[in-house]
Amino acid sequence: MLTIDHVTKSYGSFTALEDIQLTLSPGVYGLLAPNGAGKTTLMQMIVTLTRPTVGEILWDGVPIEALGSEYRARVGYLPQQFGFYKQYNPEQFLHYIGTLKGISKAQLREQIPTLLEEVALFDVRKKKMKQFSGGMIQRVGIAQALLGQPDILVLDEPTAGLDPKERARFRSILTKLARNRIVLISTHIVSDIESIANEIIMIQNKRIRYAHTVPHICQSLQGQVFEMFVPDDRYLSFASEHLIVSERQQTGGMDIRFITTHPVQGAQEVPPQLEDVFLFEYRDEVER
Amino acid sequence: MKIFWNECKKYRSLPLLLFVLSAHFITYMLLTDYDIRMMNQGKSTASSIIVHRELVDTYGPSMTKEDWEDVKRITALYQTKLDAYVQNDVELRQLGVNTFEEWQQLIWEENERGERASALHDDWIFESNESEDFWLWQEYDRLLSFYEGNETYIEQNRHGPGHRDAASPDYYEQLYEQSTIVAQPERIFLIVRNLTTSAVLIVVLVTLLITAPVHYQDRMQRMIPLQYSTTYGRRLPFVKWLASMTVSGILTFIMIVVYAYLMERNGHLYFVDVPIRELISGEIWFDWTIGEWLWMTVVVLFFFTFVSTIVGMWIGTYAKNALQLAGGVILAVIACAAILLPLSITRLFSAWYPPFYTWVQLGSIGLFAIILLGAIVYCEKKKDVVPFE
Amino acid sequence: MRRIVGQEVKKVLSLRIFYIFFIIALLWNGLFLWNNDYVRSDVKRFLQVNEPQVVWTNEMMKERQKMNQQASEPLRKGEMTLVEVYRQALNKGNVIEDEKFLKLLTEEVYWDHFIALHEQRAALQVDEKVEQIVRMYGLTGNAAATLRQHIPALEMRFSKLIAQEAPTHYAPNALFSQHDALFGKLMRAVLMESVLITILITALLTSYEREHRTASVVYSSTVGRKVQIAKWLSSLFVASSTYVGLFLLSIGSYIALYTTPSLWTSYVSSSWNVEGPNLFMTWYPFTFIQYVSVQWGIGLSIIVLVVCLTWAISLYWHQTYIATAAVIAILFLLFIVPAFISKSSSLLIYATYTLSTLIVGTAHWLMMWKGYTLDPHFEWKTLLLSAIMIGIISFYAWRHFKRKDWQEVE
Repeated sequence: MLTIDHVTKSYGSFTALEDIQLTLSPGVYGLLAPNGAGKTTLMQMIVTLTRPTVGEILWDGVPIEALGSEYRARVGYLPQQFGFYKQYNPEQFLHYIGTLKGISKAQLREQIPTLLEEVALFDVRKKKMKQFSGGMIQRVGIAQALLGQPDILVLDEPTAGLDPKERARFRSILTKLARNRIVLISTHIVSDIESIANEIIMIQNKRIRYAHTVPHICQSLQGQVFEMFVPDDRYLSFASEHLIVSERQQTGGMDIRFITTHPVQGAQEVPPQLEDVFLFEYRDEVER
Repeated sequence: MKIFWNECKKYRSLPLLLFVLSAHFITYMLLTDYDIRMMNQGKSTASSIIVHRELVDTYGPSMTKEDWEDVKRITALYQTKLDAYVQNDVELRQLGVNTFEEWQQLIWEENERGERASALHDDWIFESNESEDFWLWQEYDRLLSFYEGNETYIEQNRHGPGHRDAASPDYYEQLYEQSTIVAQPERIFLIVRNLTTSAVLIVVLVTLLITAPVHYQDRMQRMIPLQYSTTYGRRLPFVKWLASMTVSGILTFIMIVVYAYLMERNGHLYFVDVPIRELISGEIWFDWTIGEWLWMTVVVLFFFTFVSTIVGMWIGTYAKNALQLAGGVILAVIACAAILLPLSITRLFSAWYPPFYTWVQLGSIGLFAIILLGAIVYCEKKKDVVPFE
Repeated sequence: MRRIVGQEVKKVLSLRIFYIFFIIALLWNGLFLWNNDYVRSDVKRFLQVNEPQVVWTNEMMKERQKMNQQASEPLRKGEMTLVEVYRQALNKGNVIEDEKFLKLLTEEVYWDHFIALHEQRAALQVDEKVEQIVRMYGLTGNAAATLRQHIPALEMRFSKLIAQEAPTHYAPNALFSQHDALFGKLMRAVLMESVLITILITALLTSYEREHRTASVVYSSTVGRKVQIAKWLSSLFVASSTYVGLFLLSIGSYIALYTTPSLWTSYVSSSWNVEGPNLFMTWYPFTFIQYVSVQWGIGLSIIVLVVCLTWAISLYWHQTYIATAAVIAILFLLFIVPAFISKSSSLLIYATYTLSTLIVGTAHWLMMWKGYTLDPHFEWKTLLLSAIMIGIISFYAWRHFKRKDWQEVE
C-alpha cells in the first residue's frame, strides 16, 4: 500500500501541491486535472525524482526515502516527455533500462520479447528507434515501465500519440496489470480511464478535490446534466448562459449537452459522466 | 558491472572515434611533431644529438674529470681537421686566412674581406655536405666551455637553483664534486620537458572533448527521469564518471604507447639512463634520469585524465545548452593552456621554485577535482529532477 | 525577414555565456594592455627627449624636397656644412649664440644620425634577403623559384619605399616592438577571440531549431527553411558586431594609451619599422591609421567567411558541438597541410593561401617580408580563394538542406 501523507510541495515561494492525502492499494487510479495543476509533480514525488517539502510518502508504512533502491525496484515510470537513445533498437533500450532496474540477464531475456509482443513491437525489435513513429516510441516507453513487473506503475500521459486502436490495446493491458499492482495514470483523455479506473483523483487549487469511484464523483452532478437541440440562431445566447459540455452539429442547429442547476424547457436530463464533472469542476481553469 | 559496461558503450561510436583521431592528429602536428622529430632536424640539432650519443656510448650516463680530458683531446682533433680544410681551400688562402680560428674572426669584420669570408662560411655550413666536422666541433667546444667555466657558473648560480631561499646553496658544487658531471642530456631534457607539457594539453583536450558531450547527451535526450527513477537510481552519476575515466584512461594509455614508439624510433629513449641534473641545465629537485622523468610524465598524464573527466562531467551535466557545452570545453582548454601549463607543468619539480611548489599545485588540483566529483554526485543525489529542464 | 533576423539576434543576446565570452576576451586583452604599461612610460620618456625628431622629420623631408636637395645631403652655409661652420667658430674661440642657427644645428645633428641609420638599412639587397628566406625555410626547386619570381616586384616597391616613406618619420614605436605588440599579439588575439565567438554563435543559431525540437514547427511555417537565411544574416550581424566591439575596445585602447598622435599620420614603413629580425615594410604606402583600417577590414572579411563556413557545416550537422569542433578542426588542418608538402614543390607555397595563415599572421598583412609567401597580393588572393571555396560549400550545403527530408529525430 502506498500512502501519501499530508504532502506539500513548494518551489521557492510557489506551492505546487498542498496537503495531499491519499492511500493507494492495488488497482487503477486515474489522475485527472488540467495542465499545471500538479499531476506531474505528484507523480515525480512518488517515483522519488523530487522530495516533498512537507509530509512523506510511505510504502507499507515505511518512508520511501528510507527504502531507497528497494522501493524503486518496485516502481515502473513513464514520464510525460519520454527520453530514449535514438541509436538503440527497442531490445537494446529495454536491456539498458532493465539493467538499471537490477533485473537479471536471464529475466530480461524472458521479459523483453513478451513485453515487445504486448506492445506490438516484436517485429521491429532490431530496428533503430530513430526510425520509429511517435506512437511506436510511446509503446517502447510503456514496455520499459512494465519491465520487472513493478508493484507500482506510474504513467504520465501514456496514451499521448497513440491512435484509437492502440489506446484500446493499452486499456486492455492495463486492466490485466492492475489486478495485483497500483497503477497511477494521468491523462486528459477521460475516456481512457473512465472505464478502467477504480478510483479517480482530481486535483484542484493544489489540493485533492475528489478521490473516489467514478459513480460517486458523477453523483455530484446528479440532476444537473441535460441535453437538448438548440437552433443555430439561439446557440450563442444559450452558450453564454450555460456551461456547455459537448455539442454535436445537426441540420439547423446543435445537439447540446450542458450543465445547469435550473431546469431548461425542452431539455432532457441525462446521467452525468466523468467528463461532465471534469469540465464543470475546472470550468474556470478551462476558460483561462 | 553491467551498468558500468552500458555506460562505457556510450563512447563506442564511429563519430567519437573519428573525433578523437582528428584531435590527436591535429595536436600532434601542431604541438609535438617538432619535438618528436627533433633528433632528425637540421644540422645543428642533429649534430649535437650525435655528440651526446657518442658521449653516452663512450662514457656512459655520466662523466668523470678524466673523461673530460678525453673530450678536450677530441675537440682539439676536430679543430685540426677544420684547420686542414681552411688550408686546402684556395679562396680562403687568397683572403689570407690560415686557420679556422682566423676565419671565425674574419667573418665579423665589416669590410669586403669580412663579407666574402662570411659568404664563404654561410655557403660551407648551410649548403655544403663537407661541414659536418664543423657542427660536431661546435658542439664539443660548447660543452667543453661549460665544463671549463664551471667554477664561474657555480659562483654565478650559487643563489639560483636550489631556490632563492638557499635551500641548497651548494647545489652546483655538489654536482661538480660528485665526479659525475654530466653534460649530455641538456637538449634531450628540454625536448622531453616540451613533450610532457604538450602531452598534458593533448590529454586534457581530448578527454574534455569526449567526456562533456556524453554526459550532456543524457540530459538532452531526457533520460535522467527514467534513469533516476530506476533501482540503481542516483548512484548512476558516479558510474557514469567511472565509465568516462575508464575510456579516457584507455585513450591516454594508447596515446602513451604510440608516443613511446615514436620516441623510440626517433632516438629519444637512447638517453633513458642519463641523469637530468647537470651543469648546463636540468635544475630539478630530484636526481632523476630521463627515463624516470618519462615515468613521472606517465603518472602526470593519468592524473590529468582523472581531473579532466571530472571537469568534463561537470560541464556536460550542468550545461544548459549546446553553446554552454562547447563554450565550457573551449574555456577549460584555454585555461589549461594559458594558466596550468605555464604556471605548473613547465615548472614541474623545477629547482627554481620551492620544493613544495609542484606538490602543492598538483595536490590542490587533485583535491579540487575530488571535491568537484563529490559535489556533482551529491547534487545529483539531492536535486529535484524537474521535467523540461 | 527583418523581424525574423531580429528574433534570431535576440536568441544570441539572451544567452549569458555570450557575454561571458566577450568579457573574458576583453579581460585577456586588458591583461595584455596592462602588461605593456611599461611601454607607455618608456615612450613618454623617450619623446620628452626626442620629440623634435619625432615631429620634424616629415618637415625636414619636405623642406629638402622643396630645396631640390637630397635627404642625405647636409645643409650648408655657403661652402661649409653647418657643423663645419660651428667647429670653425669654436676653433677661433667664438661661440655662436644665434638661437636660430643653434636650432638648425641641433636638428642637423639629429638628422645626420637619422640619415646614417637610413643609409645603413637602405643597403639591404632584395635578392639576398629573398635567398635568406629560401635558405631559412629549406626551400628548393619550384618552391624556391616561386619565391624568387617576386624579386622584381619587391625591388620596385623597395626603391619607392626608401625614397618616399622610410625617411619620413622617426618612429619611436619601433624601438618598443609596438608593431608586433599591436598588430601581432593584440590583433591576433582580437581576431582569434572573434573567430571563436563567431563559430560558436553561428553553429548555435543554425542548429537551434533542431536542438530545441522546434524544427518541425518552424520549417513548416510560412518562412519555412528560409529561416536559415535569416540565421545566416543574424550570425553575420552578431559576429561582425562582436569583432568590431572587440577591435574598437582593444586596439582602440592600445592606440590611445601607447601611441602618439605624431605616429598616426606617419607611414608604417617609415624609419624602418624594424623589430628584431622582422622588417615591417608594407606593399602600399599606408599611414598608421590607414593600416589600422586595413587590419580592421581584412579581419572583418575573415569573420564573414568564418560565418559562412560555420553556417554551411552546421547545415550538414545540426549539432552545435560537432559543428564547432568541425570548423575549428578544419581551420587547424588548413594550417598544418603545408607540413606534408615537399619543400621543393610550389604547392607548398600555394598551400599557405588559407584563412588560417591569415589569422595567425596578422602582423604581416600586406607586408613585403611575410613568411615565405612574399606575394604582394597574398591577402586578396587568399580571401578570394577562401570566398570561392566557402561559397561553393555553402551553396551545396544550402541545396542539400532545402531538399532533404526533415525528421525530428535525426
